[in-house]
Order: sequence, then structure tokens, then C-alpha cells
Amino acid sequence: MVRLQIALGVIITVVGLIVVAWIALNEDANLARRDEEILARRIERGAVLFEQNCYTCHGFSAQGVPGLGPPLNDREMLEQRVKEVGWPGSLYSYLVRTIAGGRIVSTRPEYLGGKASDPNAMAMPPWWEEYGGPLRKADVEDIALFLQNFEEFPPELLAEMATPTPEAGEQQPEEGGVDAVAVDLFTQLGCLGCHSLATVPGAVGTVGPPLDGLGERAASVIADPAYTGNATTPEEYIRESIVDPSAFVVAGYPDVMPKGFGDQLSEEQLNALVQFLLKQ
Amino acid sequence: MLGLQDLRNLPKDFERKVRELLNQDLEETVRERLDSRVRTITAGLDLEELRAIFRGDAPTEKPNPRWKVHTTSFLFHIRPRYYQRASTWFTHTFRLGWLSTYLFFIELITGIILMVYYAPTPDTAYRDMLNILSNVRFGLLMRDLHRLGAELMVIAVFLHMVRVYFTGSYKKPREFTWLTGVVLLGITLFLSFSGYLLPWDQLAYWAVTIGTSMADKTPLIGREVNLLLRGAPDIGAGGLLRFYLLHVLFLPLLAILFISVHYYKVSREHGISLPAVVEEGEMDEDRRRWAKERIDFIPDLLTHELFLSVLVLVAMVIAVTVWFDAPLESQANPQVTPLDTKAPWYFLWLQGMLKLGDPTLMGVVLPGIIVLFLAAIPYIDNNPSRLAKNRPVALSLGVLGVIVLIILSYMGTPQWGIETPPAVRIVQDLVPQEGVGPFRKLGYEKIKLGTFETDSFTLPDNPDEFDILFAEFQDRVRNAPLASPQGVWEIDMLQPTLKRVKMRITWTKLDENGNILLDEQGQPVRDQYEKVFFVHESSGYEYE
Repeated sequence: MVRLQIALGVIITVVGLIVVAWIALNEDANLARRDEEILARRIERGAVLFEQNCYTCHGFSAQGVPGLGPPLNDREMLEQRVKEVGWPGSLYSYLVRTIAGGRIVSTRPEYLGGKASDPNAMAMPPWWEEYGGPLRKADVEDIALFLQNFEEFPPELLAEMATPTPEAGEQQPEEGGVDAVAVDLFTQLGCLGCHSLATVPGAVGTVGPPLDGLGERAASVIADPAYTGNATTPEEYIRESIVDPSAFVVAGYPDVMPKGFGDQLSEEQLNALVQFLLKQ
Repeated sequence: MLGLQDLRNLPKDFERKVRELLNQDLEETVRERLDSRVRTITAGLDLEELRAIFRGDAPTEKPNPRWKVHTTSFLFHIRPRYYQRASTWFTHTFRLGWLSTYLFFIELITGIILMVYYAPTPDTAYRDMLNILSNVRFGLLMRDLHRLGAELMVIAVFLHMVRVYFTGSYKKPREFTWLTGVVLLGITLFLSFSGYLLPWDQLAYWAVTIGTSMADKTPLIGREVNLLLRGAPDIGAGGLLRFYLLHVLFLPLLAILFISVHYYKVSREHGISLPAVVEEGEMDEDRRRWAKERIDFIPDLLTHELFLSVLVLVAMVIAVTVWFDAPLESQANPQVTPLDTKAPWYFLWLQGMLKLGDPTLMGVVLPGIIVLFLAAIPYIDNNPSRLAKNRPVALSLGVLGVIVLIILSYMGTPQWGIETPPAVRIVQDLVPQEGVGPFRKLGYEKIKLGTFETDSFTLPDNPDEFDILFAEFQDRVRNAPLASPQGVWEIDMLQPTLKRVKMRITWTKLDENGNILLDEQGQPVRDQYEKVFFVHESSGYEYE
């Protein structure tokens, strides 16, 4: 028994050493992989936190909300911004600091819109708990990691995104195609940050007038002597409000709506949006 | 002082020395020197003796040099010189006491290594965990070994107790040994539990919150006990530090003390019990004599223990390399109570009991009575016989106890007695709040972009894993106890390396009588549950 156990013990020890050697050989690669995985999962967490906390001012996809918060979905632009303000550290540290402490005064008031007229409003509230915000340090860092992860979509990926999988294609609702386009535009352009609209999830903004019942209301607006624009039909009125928002500003609301939508939108897109809003 | 005469003698002395050296047998000298070194290292065994040991021969000298080791070596003086043969039968002890102690030492060593890379503060603890996993060579191995060792130790200590109970080894004169064993079971559980908090992840935080909230229910001193443990009304920096000190200092010292007392009783006073059949059963006298024969610790049992040490350690290393991973969830967050929170598995029976009634009675009084009863077993059981056939009541109670423990543990799981809303349950099963779940397990590449609806989806002819998973989702949504339920997955790309997934289940709202609720326009009111999450290209879920 003694000799058998010694022999077996030696064999098992050798097996154990081989396993440990195998771990050792792969350890560097594994450490690097785990490092990457941890970073990736932190980005995922940051994205969730962003969607929960930041969408009202920066949009669901960080595309920005005109009048409320600048777009953040472009790494190059963010890098550029760091240079502009003369921040000596990295983009990451700039993001962490901005999220943690917020902004008492805006560095770019053109993005502030409605809030700019209120001298008591902070441009951006602090988010780190130490400064009175709701988030912990790690949460703030994760959001910064997420924002840093915005890159330009490579062309082949854009192509893939444009042609959905066959199964997915079948699922797309046939009816209401125009409406779907309009809702997407309404969300992507950030209209929902300033205007409320019951049919679009997340559209709860209060900077601009509510858009529910716009189609019915439009005629009476044009008929009102106070109306300063050139529209003669409700359709034209809505189109004018998008393309040239300053032509007429509803009483009680600031004239802060961005002016560039006319150039930004194609004729089809503009039509879809007008038709959609007309039905509200 | 060196005199003139000494100088004159120098050549003669030199000559004599050379002659002495030349006359000596060189081989003999080397052997003697080597022997003496080997004797120092082995505390008394020379080369010849070692060779005899490896060959399985009898001792080469008298008195037996193998016994001498037990007086000259500190480590060996703790161990008995010999055991009675029957007490070493594998099926009598299953080496569970040895295994518990061995695992304790593995925990000490891996624990000390982990301590180097860990600071017990809420700000650093979790970051240190990530650092150990991604930046410390063999860090993952050490952590996994430490975790696996802890779980095995709980199992080993528990089984050890079960074994001692069923073989009746707690009986006179070993009552006190049993008592120290009960204390050691408690220390083992608390060692494991106190370590549970240290990674400072959600799993740890909430398991310990549940655990310590039971202390709160102690009559009269509950609040104080809880405060003492947590350092504040809620677990925070103070609680983490206290658990850390309990885990790395107080409990290990206590364990070492009780292991020493326990083992002293076993090795010096009563020895390991003989199987009841050898002690009092019907047995051929020759066989009984053979069973009681002495077996020397060196070499038979020593080699056996070394063999087992290597076997267990290598098995553990292979286990953690191949399948066992110490869990690590997201960072502890007092604001978010995760779904499916549960106690560590060895306290599930307690959680199960808590579901049965008043927390003070079920969480404190009854467990207290159980512990007292366990400690008092040798004094309650006055049946002198250890033979199974003479102990029908004790053995039945033992079996019943184990069955009840298993049932209570099952009742302690989140699946038992806790209702989760059906839509939440379906999504939670696919993408749990913590951990991977089958959806993320698909991996980034296999997650398709697009909108998928349960109303219109049909399984294609050559379905891939994604389709099959959606079909399962579709099936569960359709069969959910909800009025006209619909499920949707919307998947798009937010960043070139990040996919956004919206999982939504909608259903028609019903009032208390089961009638459809209508809004002002007369349309049925729809309710919904939505979860938005993201999957990054490099998350590596598919490898888990």
C-alpha cells in the first residue's frame, strides 16, 4: 500500500504540476481577456445607467436634445471638446469629472435653450453622491466608459444594420410605416426632450408647447390675429414650425427651437413628420 | 596563544591529518555526513531507514527509529505513534476529520495570499476583486481555490458530524470531543459566512443583509447584536471591516484553538473510535485481535495522508480550472435589492424555516434550541451501545434530521413560496439581473438585430440558437397567466460594439374580478414590463 500510494502520489503531483504549468502559460492571455471582459461589462452597465438617468437631456441614444443637452454620441467630437476647453487630462477623466460634478454654468449656452433663461437653474446637475447626486463613483465611471465607447460605425456594419435579418424583416409591421418613421425621427431628433406627445414613449418635455391635438388646434392658431407666420393650412403651419420655428412662437414659450431642421431633413422625412403630427 | 612549539609541531600535525584522511574510507565518510544531515531533516531517520520505509521493510534499528520522530519533531509529536487498524478503515471515518483540517490549511494559505491584494473598504473591496481577476497572476486560481475550499470545508465538517453521529462515536468517553466538534461546525459556518461579504458584490451584500437581519430578531438584545455585527443600522464600511476582522483574525484563531482541543482529545486521550462491530459486536476473536492491531503512523498512515493531500489539492486545482468559478456579481448596491436574493446554500434551511412563521421563533429561538440539542446529544442519548441494531431510535432520528434539513433547504430557495409576477419571471429567467442567463449566453455574434414579436414569429426550417430561444420565449409568453399577452424583442446597435436589447411583455389589465379594464375611449388598458440591457462585443458571456 505504501509503495502504491507513493507511486500514485507522484503521478498525481506531476499531473497537478502540468495543470499549474498550463495555467501559467495561459495566464497572461487570460488576464488580458478578463480585463477586456470586465471593461466590456462596465460599458454595458454604463449604457443602462445612461438610459436611466441621462436620456431626458441627452436623448436615449446620446444623440442630444436640442435646447437641453449636447449630443455625446461621437468620440471624436468629445475628444475635440476636451482640447477646446483646455482640459489637461484624458477624455475619460473629463467625462468622469463632468458627470460627477455637473455644470453650474454652461460652457455652451446654445445647448441650454429654455434653461438659459432661468438664472437659477444649473446647466447640468451633479450625479456623484458625494456632490449630492444619486450615483456612486463606480456608476459615474461606468457611464464615462460607455460614452468613450462611441465610435463611428464602419460602412459594413451600417450595411448590416440597414438590411435586417429575413426573420426580422417579416416581423416589421406593414401598416403605419410612415408613422413609424416619424416616431423614430421624433425620438432621434430629440423633439421629445422639449415637447410632450402621448403617442411617443418618453416625450415628456416641457420647454416647448405640448403637441397633443396639434392637428385640430392648428387651424385656430392660424386664424388667431396674434399669428405672425405665413401658413394658410394646418399642414403648412406644422411644416413652418419645424423649418422656421421663429416665424411664430406660441405665447408663454421661449424662442429656442433649433433652426436647422429644414436642411437636416429630407423631403420624405419632413412629410412623414408633418403627416404624423397632423394626426395628433 | 600560539607558541613556538606549536609552530614546530605544525608539519607533524599536517602530516598526521593527511594520513588520517588517506586512511579513511571516502564513501563511508560521505555516507556518515549524509546520514547525519538526513537525520536532522527527518528528525531521526537515516538513509537506510528511509529506504526501508519506501520498500515497506521493517525498521532497521531498535528501538524503532520511526517512533523517535514523534518525540523529536514538533509536528509529529502532535500525531499519535500508532492507530488501531480498525479505526483507520476508510469506510469507518471516510477521512472527514482529516479533510476538514486539511481544507482549513488550504484556506489559510490561499486566504493569506488573497489578503495581499485586498483592502476591506466599500470603495476598494470590489475594485480589488476585479484587480485580482484581471491583474494578478494566479489571482483567479487562488480565489477559486479559496471559495471551493470553503464550500468543501462546510460539507466535510457537516459530513464528519453525520458520520460521528451514525457510528455512535460521540458516546462516552468522547462527549467533550463531540461538544468541541459542534462548536467547530458553528465556527466553520461563520468563517464561511463572514467571508461571503468580503467581495462586496450584490450576492454578498444581500445574503449578509438577510443573515444579519435574523440576528435582529433575537429577543431583548437583537438590536444590539445587529449593531455590533453591522457597525451601523445598515451594512457599510463599519460592517465590512468587522466581517473582515472576524474572517481573517478572530474566527481563524478561534478555529485553531478549538481544532487543537478537539484533536488533542482525539489523538492523546481517546483515539479515533473503533467501529462498533469491533468494539462490541459479534466477531471472530482472531479477526478482532487483527482489527485492533497497531499500525504505525510512520510510514503507513503518513504516506496515506500525503497521498490524500496531493489527491485533494490536485482535484481542487483541476475542478477550478475546468468548471468551478467563484461567483462575482455587480458591486454591492444598498439601493437595489436583486430579484431572487438568497442566503448561502448552507443557511438555506434557516431561510426555509423563516418562511414558515414568526422570525423570532423560526430564525432565532428554534435554531438556538437545535444547536443546544446537538451539543447535548451525548448526554441525552444514554444508550451505551454503539451498534446500529441497538440504536433504532437514534438512527431514525438522524435520518429524519437529514431529510428535514434537505426539505427546509429546498424551501429556502427563492423558487419556493415567493411569487414573482409572470412577465418579470420570464424576462428574469432569460436575462437575470445578476449572472449571465441563456440570452447573454448566446454571445454577441449570435444576437440578431431587428424586431421580433411573439404574435408573428414562426420558427424557420433551420433554426439557430437565437430562433430557438425566441421560440421558448414565445411559448412561455403565450402560456403565461396573463390576458392576451404579447412579447417583443427589439434589438439594435447603439455603438459599433454595443447591441441594445429591449425585451417587453404587454398584457391586458384586469380588475379584481377578472374583467377587462377599459380606458376612456373604451379600449382595453394594456400593462407592460420592459427591460433594456446591452451586450458588448467583448463581454465573453458565451464562454461562461
